[in-house]
Amino acid sequence: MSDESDAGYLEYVHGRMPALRRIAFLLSGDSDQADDLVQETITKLYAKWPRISRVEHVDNYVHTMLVRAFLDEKRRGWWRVSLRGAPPEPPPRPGGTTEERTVLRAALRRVPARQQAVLVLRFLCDQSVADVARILDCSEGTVKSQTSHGLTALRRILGDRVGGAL
Amino acid sequence: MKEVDYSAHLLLRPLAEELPGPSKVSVVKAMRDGRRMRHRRWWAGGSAVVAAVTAASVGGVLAAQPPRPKLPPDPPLPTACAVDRLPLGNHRSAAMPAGDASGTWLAAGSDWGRETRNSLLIWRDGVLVTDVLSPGLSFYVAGVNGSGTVVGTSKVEPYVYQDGTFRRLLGGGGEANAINDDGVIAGLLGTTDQERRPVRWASAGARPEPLTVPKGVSPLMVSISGVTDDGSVIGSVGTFGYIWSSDGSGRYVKAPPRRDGVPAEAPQPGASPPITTVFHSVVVRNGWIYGTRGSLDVESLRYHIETGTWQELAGEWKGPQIGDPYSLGDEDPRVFVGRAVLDLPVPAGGHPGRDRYYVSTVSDDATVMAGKLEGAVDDTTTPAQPIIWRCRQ
Repeated sequence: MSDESDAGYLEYVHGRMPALRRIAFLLSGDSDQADDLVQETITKLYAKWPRISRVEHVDNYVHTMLVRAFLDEKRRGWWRVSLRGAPPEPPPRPGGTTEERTVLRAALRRVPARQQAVLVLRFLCDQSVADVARILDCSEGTVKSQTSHGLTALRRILGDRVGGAL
Repeated sequence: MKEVDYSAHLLLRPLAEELPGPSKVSVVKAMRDGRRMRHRRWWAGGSAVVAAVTAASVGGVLAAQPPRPKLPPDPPLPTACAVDRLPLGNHRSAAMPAGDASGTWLAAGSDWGRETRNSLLIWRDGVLVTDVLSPGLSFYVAGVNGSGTVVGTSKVEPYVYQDGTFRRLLGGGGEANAINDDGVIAGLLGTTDQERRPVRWASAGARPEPLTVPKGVSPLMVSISGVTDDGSVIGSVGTFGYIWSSDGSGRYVKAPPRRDGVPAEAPQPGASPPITTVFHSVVVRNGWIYGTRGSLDVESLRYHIETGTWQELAGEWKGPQIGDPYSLGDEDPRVFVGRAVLDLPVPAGGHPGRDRYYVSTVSDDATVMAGKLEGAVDDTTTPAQPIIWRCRQ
């Protein structure tokens, strides 16, 4: 790869790193896991950079790679080990109450992965239905139905906590 | 904003206030690992059914021309397999082995991942028969054919190894990507992004024949997957499969619309590609192009070149099994033979659950398979080990 191409990659990655880490963190709820997802994503991005860098909407591709890495991790069972015991709890952070976030995060983890991704992308990353459809490689109708199913599942898991602690 | 959206935002808002801790992401490591991944062009042309089928419930003919085309039979599923590490001589590690269709020949570059003048290793029936210093740094093998002829690349110099001698392919810098049993070689020439172009060599000593790239397509968006028995070169142009026929003509291979109702879209100049018909060709076997469709929940498909028949092969991403050069491996070695999933045994002395496997070649009759064992993604101390599976039906 030429130095010029490397420079383009570096510029892109450094510019997008905060956003990628935030999306990964919102998806995984775990800082280390988020960094693993970003590491995998930017590694694959470098491998594909000569092809990807020339297309428009590079962000769409990168977000797709990131979400796919998240779903792959879920499929591979990264959470299987955790769920046999106790899921790793995020350390307390400023803003809101820790209990709220802990309960909500635990509930979100129990929502099916694809629905979880839709909820995070739409309501925490403020992506439009059309953008989420492109990122997830599905129709807008699927995004809407996954949103509905995901919210229903989340509210069912949270039960009485909706409108209470939350 | 609709009411449902607003309430959902309110519900999830506490999570938006969380921030990740200090970054542990390493861009340097990403570039180093990404560079290695770019060199994993370990599938070569030939003939065999490898990779990529899934449960029979999802596999089906998508588009068949009447009368129903006669398709080549898939090999029977092995009933038992034994695994061994391939001997490495005095070397510590080796890259992904390439293999020929008969399962006789395997070849790989030694000392995987090191910027050194490494060696070409060739195994015949699992026995190391050639251990020769390569002509340059970081030699990696792209393919080996039924005569034991190897093609590969050292840095930006394409080579063929034949009858005990390395010969640099004509045409200048570039890379050799595949060879068929007749010795036809395909690759890319050019040492800069602007010069890069696909070519075919009719033989090891032939001058390169340029392969035409469609107008308006950056040469950077061209990759080579294999050479068929008749000398056609299979690859990808942009986000679609592409066939350069032996007569020099070329055509796109676009996947059919998905059955979930998402329509196919016509590509628009300058626009993002239509995801629904994206098809990356990955490997060419027995007249089939194996590849993937989509960019999330990627499906594996195969396309029969002669009849134009599509078959869905996998319901979920099977990168390591289908030869995805950008895959990071799989914790369980698995390969798809015919239309069934075959779980392969792991060698003794590994780290189950952490080691990552790649299955890079399967013989025509599905009795010999080879691949690579790597440590976990974050494990930089475990050397990559080439492995062989011998199976019986």
